Amino acid sequence: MTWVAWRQQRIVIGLFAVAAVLLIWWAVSSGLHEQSLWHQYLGPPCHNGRGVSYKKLAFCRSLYNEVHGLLSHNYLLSDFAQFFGLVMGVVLGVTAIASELERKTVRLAWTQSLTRTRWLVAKTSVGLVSIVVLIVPLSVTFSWWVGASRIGPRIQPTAYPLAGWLLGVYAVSIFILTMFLGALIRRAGPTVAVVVLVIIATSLFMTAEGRTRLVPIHTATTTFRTVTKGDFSTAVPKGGAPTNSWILFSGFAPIGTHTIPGEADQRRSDERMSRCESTSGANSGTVMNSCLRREGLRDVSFYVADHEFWQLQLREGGLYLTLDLLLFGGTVVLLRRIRV
Amino acid sequence: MSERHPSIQFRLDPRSGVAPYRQLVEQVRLAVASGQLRGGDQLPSVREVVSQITINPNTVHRAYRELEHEGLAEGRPGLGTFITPRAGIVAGAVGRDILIDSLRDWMARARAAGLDDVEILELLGRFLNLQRVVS
Amino acid sequence: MNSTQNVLEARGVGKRFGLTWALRDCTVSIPAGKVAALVGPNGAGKSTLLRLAAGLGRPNEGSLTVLGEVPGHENARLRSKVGYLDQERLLYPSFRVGEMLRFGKATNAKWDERMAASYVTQLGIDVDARVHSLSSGQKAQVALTLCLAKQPELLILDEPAATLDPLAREDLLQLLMQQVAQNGTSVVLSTHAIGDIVSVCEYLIILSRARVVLCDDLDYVLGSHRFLTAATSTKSSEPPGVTVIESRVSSREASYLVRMDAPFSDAGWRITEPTLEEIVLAYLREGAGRPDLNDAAQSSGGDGGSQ
Repeated sequence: MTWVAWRQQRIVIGLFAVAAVLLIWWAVSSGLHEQSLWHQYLGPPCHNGRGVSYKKLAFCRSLYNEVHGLLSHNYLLSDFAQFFGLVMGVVLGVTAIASELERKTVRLAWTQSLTRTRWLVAKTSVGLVSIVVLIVPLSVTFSWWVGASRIGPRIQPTAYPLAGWLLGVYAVSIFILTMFLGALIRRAGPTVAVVVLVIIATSLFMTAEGRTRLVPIHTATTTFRTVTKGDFSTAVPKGGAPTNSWILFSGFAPIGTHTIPGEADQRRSDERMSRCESTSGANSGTVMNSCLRREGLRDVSFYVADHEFWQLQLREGGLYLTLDLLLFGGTVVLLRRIRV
Repeated sequence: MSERHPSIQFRLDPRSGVAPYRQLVEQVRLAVASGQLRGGDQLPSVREVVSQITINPNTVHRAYRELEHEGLAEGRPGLGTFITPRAGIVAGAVGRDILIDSLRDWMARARAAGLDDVEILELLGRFLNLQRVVS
Repeated sequence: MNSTQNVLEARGVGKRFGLTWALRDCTVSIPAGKVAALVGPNGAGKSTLLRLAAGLGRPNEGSLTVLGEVPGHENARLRSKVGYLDQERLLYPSFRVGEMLRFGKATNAKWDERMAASYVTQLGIDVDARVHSLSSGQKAQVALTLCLAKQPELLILDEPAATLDPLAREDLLQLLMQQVAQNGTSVVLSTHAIGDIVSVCEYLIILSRARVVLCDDLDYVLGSHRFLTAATSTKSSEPPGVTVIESRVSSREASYLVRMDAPFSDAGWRITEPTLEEIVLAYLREGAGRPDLNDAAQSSGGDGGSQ
């Protein structure tokens, strides 16, 4: 039966293999290109935009534009990479269960001398193996690419799904979910629609709420110092969250706040600070600090630290995989009860 | 013995109103009476019949059993079903019944024409003598 | 193979889809070693019964056994002894014929590879052709070959010859009869074509509006059913001692299709033999809503059966 499951899906799997190869080629070539651009920009003469000599200003500015102009390209590639896993999971899941149920060809397999569970196991293993075989190289490539393209800190939502093992976990989970929903809904179109909704809802939820509950949230306070150049002085922040963190909130909050303030509280704090700044004159570090003290506020960042990256990945992935086991069991139960 | 040419080619008419097994029996009987099948000839195996016409094998079994019952055929275990040597007589017996029926008819017509027994016998004798002279 | 066991035993089987009953109070006993025909109009419940027997679902009411076992999704061993051919002759369209045979081998415990290949060659079908390029007759034959190569004890065929042209139908039934001749396989098939029944089947089951109205040996059916006709002036009531299946009374003539279980002695009737088609149609027209006619035969005499 494993051969049959493979034979039924081999064209789909083949297409995804081609797409995976293309994606990897795209990532590698663009990653290498960006890596060299950044290397140029970070080194002399541009030094990442600090202390550029007047002569090199035009050169560095064009290099800067080039490197930052690739941002939309990077987002596009990262979207493709994420969609790849999700689409593969959906397509394999739908062709495995829902479309066979809809077209009633299950009657052929289920009247031979094998149990429905064995049939499901064969289909599942072919799907899982295909996903893993294709996504592992993809994951490895994109974990590297996240660094090379500097699309953002790996713990931030733009890069986070691409790094680590989540590309594979997502694809596997969507595959298992689609099979479960296919056994429940028994029609291909509605199954895809429901899966898409679930994907959107889950990703919104996880980014907004879910992920932040899986690891501890750190806080860091920012203080200000005055920097004067000639007759121009400004307040420069010091402290705060590390640059490679995922910042959940950065702004003013009453001293002693341990949770991210709500919108109303944020507005109130902002109003108090702006009133204070306007009356005493801004652009001075000491003024900022004294305003903060007077209003009993502090400039605080709530963030998820980069060193929690793997813990977050493992916990989130583990959560999904546990759900997958339950869904798989549910699929077995559903299939046994279907009267065709 | 060559199986390539079956000794009899059966035909089935599903609309004739006659049960299929009876149709087979009648066709064998006709074949024997006409001399197409003779004593010792082998009837096609059940499988051969099924490949000739689309018929239930049980029906063929039934027809062959009926033929055995009537004495037209006999089953030899491991070899097949064969026409009995007496079959000609049995079929002939049927043929003789047909002759008797037509003789009865002729007799009725002779009587209607006004011939009595003596005249009929004389007629017959002249006919037989003629035959003997000729042969 | 236990030849005295019934291949299919249904007692009061009922199957419901939503609120509609596709089968109701279905009681059938099909003996082994026979080719049985299941006849009835569309929607009568034939496919439902066959699919239940193949293990694709469970009855809501009553009990059903096939080859002495209860069919169901977990009874894989029973399914190795039963070959099922769906009405739609399901195959995987993108597979080649050879790959369909490989499918059969991969999903069945018993599989005769050589027989399958020889059937396909005998039918003149290219083993490398893709299923979607075959004619409907060839598809039916490939689907039937899948069933036959399993070497089953029982074949369940849902309208195997429907929509086939006469030549394809002949070939299909030929293939089937060869299998029966060789292995003594029991067959239950559903059909519209009465002509197939007469030459190929020995057992007749009539389903009408989700109920069984007849379940008997074909010879017995043909031998026991008669038309009784008489002028209305001489006979004013139904003939006694027989089960009336259908009656046609006009101002001049009364005609009854009856089943005789005992020698008929009432005089004054003209007795003719109905064709199988007439018998089946009569049962289909009158069968719905009647009490079980087998029971009615017990209470003979008087008003000639309840109606």
